[in-house]
Amino acid sequence: MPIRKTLSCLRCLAATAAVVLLAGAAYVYLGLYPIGADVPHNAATYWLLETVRERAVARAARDISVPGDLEASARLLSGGADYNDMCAGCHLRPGENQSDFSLGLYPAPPDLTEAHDTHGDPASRDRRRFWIIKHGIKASGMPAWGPGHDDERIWSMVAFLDRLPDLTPQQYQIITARSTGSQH
Amino acid sequence: MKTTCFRSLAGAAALGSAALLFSGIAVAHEPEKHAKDAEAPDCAAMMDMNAEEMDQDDPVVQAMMEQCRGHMDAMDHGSGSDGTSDHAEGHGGQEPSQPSQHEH
Repeated sequence: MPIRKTLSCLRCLAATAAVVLLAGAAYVYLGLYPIGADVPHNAATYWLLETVRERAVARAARDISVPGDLEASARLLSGGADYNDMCAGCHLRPGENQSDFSLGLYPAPPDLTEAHDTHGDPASRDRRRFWIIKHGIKASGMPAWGPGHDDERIWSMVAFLDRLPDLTPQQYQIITARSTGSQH
Repeated sequence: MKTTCFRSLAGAAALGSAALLFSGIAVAHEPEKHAKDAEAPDCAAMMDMNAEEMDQDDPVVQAMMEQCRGHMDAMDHGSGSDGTSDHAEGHGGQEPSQPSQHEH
């Protein structure tokens, strides 16, 4: 008798799983998901994607060793110019609140001029940033800069990001200018 | 005849590979490419900053000084015997988006 009950329960579970799978497949293939970037994910999808992203980045970045010279001024100059060319359109400059990219991308790119990055201690935060800049994030608008930039250049961008929230618009302009003016 | 044909094909393949390789390099983000149309640092704004409040050990201050060193040197070199200089005045009123007049 208990065996019959167990079999019945298993059949019931299998039938439920089949229905859920079919419903999911129908949802996907009928194109019902609102895929436009101007419609936010529902809370469950958002949580799932964010959790997948954060756990994957934390795992991938955990063994990266951070250079000891991230505070060097040369790092700021190299990383600042690259940030201005490659990142500022989405992640903003000091004194800016929004851009077409920051308004239109979904998920919205973080405003890196504000000191709200709370991902662990400074070394973990640097490792995380290095990994994200180098490898990018799928389906987020964040490209992988690794193929065209060596690790040193990416570390310089990380160094610049560490100081970016402290910079005034004037300081930012001076540091990020790809100047030929000093080549006298 | 066959050998000549193979040589031509091999040459074409090598040439094609080299072209692909160099086109790939050109696509990468070269700082020099950006420097051509980049804006100059607004060193006049730095002159207006309060020097006493600037911590000389701060990498941000050091980076700004490094960026503007050429401008400051140019101002020193361009100063006439009366201490005035068109050079210096040009920098003082220069918009950051204007290319430097002191590029040599």
